[in-house]
Amino acid sequence: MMGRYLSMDIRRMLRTRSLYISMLVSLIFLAFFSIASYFVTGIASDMMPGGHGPLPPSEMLVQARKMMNINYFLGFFFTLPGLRLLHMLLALFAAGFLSKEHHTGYLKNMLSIPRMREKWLVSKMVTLLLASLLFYAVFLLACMITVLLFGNAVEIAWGQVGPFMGMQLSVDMALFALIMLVVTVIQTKTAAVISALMLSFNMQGLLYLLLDQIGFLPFRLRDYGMMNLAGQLSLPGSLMSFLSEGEPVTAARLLPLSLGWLAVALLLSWLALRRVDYKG
Amino acid sequence: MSELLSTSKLSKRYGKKFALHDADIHIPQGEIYGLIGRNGAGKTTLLKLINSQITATSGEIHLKGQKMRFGVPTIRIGALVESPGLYPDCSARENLVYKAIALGHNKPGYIDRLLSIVELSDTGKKKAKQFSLGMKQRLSIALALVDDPELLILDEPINGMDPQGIKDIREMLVKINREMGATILISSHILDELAKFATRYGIIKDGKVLREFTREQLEQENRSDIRIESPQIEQIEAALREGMAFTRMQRQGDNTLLVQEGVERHEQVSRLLFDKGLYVSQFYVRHESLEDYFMGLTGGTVQ
Repeated sequence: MMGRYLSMDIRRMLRTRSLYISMLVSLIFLAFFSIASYFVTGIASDMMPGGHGPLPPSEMLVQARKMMNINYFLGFFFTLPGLRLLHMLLALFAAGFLSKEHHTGYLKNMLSIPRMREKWLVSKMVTLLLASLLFYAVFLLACMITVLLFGNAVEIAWGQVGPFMGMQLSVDMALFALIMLVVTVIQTKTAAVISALMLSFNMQGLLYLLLDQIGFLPFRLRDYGMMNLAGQLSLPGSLMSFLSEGEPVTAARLLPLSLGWLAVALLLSWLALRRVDYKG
Repeated sequence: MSELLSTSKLSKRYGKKFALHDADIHIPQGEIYGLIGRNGAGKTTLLKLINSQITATSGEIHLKGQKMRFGVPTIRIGALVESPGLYPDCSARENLVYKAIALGHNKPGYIDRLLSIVELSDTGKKKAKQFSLGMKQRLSIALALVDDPELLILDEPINGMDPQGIKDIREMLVKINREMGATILISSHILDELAKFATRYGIIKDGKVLREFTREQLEQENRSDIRIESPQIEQIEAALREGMAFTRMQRQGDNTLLVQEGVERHEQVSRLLFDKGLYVSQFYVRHESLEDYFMGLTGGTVQ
């Protein structure tokens, strides 16, 4: 029965235009960034170990382009502060996908089905996991093509990329669960989209920063902000690895947070599905 | 006939106000139950509770004698409550396919049969958002029919529809009741329309169920009568007693007789009096509608 529900959701997911629009937007940004990287000497300067020294700008660009590998592009779109484009696009897609059945009222056709709420919750999360994997795969493929266009060999360091993307995926899943909580409690598309934007733009991080300024806690709250930590994940060869000066974030710091948020948000969503009256 | 659904002291409170208060209804299997009430009376709240859309503040719902726990029904329920819940960018078939897949109905012809019942077989790839109101309502009813429900809940399904659309829905519901064996719980404020096909009624006012009655009880209790005025009133009374076997007749003054039975045979009454050569100066047939009955019980108007 769960499989049937999942089958319905996957079918719906593949027919959702916003998934393809999100992918397209990410690819357009990748194209812009690639072109900019190709010509901007500032970025190249940051990438040169120990500065560019006596190299003329044109030679510096050539040397830097050789360092623009898969990690370079992946790192930019997942971790650059204030951007985190891939998280934002996926969160926006999830907001639309999760709120669709509340928004259209379709869910009320299903509410009298036994254990439907649990199936709805699990099926939606599994579908979003699959959507994220699809999204990551398309983006990775696009990065590989870009690396080829730069004239570099495509070599994926799975030992670095795998854990990096896995941890980013855990962050995405936590984001989806938090958006689901908003959907199950407030039950409007607008609330889902706003929460997706605020979470993915790391408004929480800003709030933590402000609270840290008050200094009433013996530790820094922002050290425990999920999106903060996701943005500081280390991926050798990425732009952030050249810019970042602090200690790189490890799985031991990020995973308990992302999985914790995921578990709490799912539990609360389930309770909300059971207890909050359907408004549609 | 066994009871498919009953509620016991079912209540729903929003803040301090009760939308539904100690409501008791009883729906035998196979009936078409008409829930009658003005806007805001609590009809939709009751239907939402039965469809597990909202949770009760107190009270119980019993399905085939079993108490419904945690909003999980023990029978198959299909519902159209308030607006149609459709994917606007999908066709009628796609809307049905999604729910059918989720419920494991993937036999060939299953969707075709549902589309045929609601007469939407020829809509092709037309999107639900391009449907007329009547078509949307019919598609929603088809959605409610996925999984062959034992109980079909319909909240004002004929609202805003033209007379032909109303007639189509009525005929369709009777067909669903007879051929699919679905018990139907329907609310409407178009009472005369409901009177044409419902077999049992419940009247709800201010969140309370005032009364439940069958179609037969309605016919027995209503104030339908034939009023005859004539200078030969004694002969007329005798003729009706003898010729029609009427017993429930009442004299009003010297020239007026109220016949309180056989109203539906008023043409035979008229023919009998004519054949016997009795002079009738006035002949009225007064037939109380469900709406009149409702107003008598609630002391108001239907909205």
